[in-house]
Amino acid sequence: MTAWPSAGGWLRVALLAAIAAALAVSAFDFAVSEPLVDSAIRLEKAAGPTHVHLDGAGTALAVPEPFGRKAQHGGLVIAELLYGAGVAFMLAGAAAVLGPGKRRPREPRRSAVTTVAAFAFASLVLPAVKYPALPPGAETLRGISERQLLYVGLLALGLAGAAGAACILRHPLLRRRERLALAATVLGGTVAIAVFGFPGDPLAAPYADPQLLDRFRAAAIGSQALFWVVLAAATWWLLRPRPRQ
Amino acid sequence: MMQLVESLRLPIAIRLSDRAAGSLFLAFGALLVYLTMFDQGVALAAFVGAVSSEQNYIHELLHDGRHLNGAACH
Repeated sequence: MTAWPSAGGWLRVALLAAIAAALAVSAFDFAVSEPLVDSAIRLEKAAGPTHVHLDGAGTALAVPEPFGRKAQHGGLVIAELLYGAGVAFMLAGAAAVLGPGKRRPREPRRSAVTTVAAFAFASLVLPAVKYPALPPGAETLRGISERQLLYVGLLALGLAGAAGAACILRHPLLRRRERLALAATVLGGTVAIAVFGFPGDPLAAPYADPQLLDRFRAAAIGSQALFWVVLAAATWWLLRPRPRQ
Repeated sequence: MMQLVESLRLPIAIRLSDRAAGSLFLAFGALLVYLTMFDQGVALAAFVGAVSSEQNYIHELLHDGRHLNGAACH
């Protein structure tokens, strides 16, 4: 069994794994997702200006966009690296705060993969089910502040549900089958709360190209799934037991 | 005797400092995720003023990543 790393050890492992995940996702996005984003932006521009800056009298101002598409393509890599670094700090922080366990020692690799799975459940599964990704130009009825608040609520719900399931999986008094069944029930209940307890956020108008919308959403889910899978696999590999020198 | 006390105290001190570092990591990680997924001009307002919310520099630069990561963008 691998010894429980220090906080700094956890951070080093998580950052390396996150860089690998961010680079893999960037490659995937350049090959698959970015052409779809470009198509969506062309569609948005063809439909006319949707995001205008207004002066005090409500008149549209000619404010140039600060970055062109070329810079935004580069920004995608920065976004994935920054997001990966944020997740890495939280992964290392969660592991360091939880610690190696007193009565039932935690195994670092299993703990890391469980934590990554919890993050993936909260930030990929629940939003994909309730508030799926939107391409540029697709507007919903709710304002951005409200949508961000709902998204954060969904993240909190997902983390709470995943933490509950993880606690059940470690419960010493239950049999393995009972633990699995209870944990699956908790996760299923969490999805049900997200679906039926959170308000809907329908599109303000039918999207101009429904096929593009579906393909964009599939690419977004694939991109996020790749991030979490590479993060989990790289963390697992980096925490492998090594012979003592 | 002192050696015995020291040997008992040292692991506890390390554990506490690991937990403190872990809390800082969690806070910094949340800040990075906020910048990447949620900021609408607030983060740079202290440095560049009102133009930050008009131009929304971080949002615009990280635009494609936000859409693909499922965050609300517009």
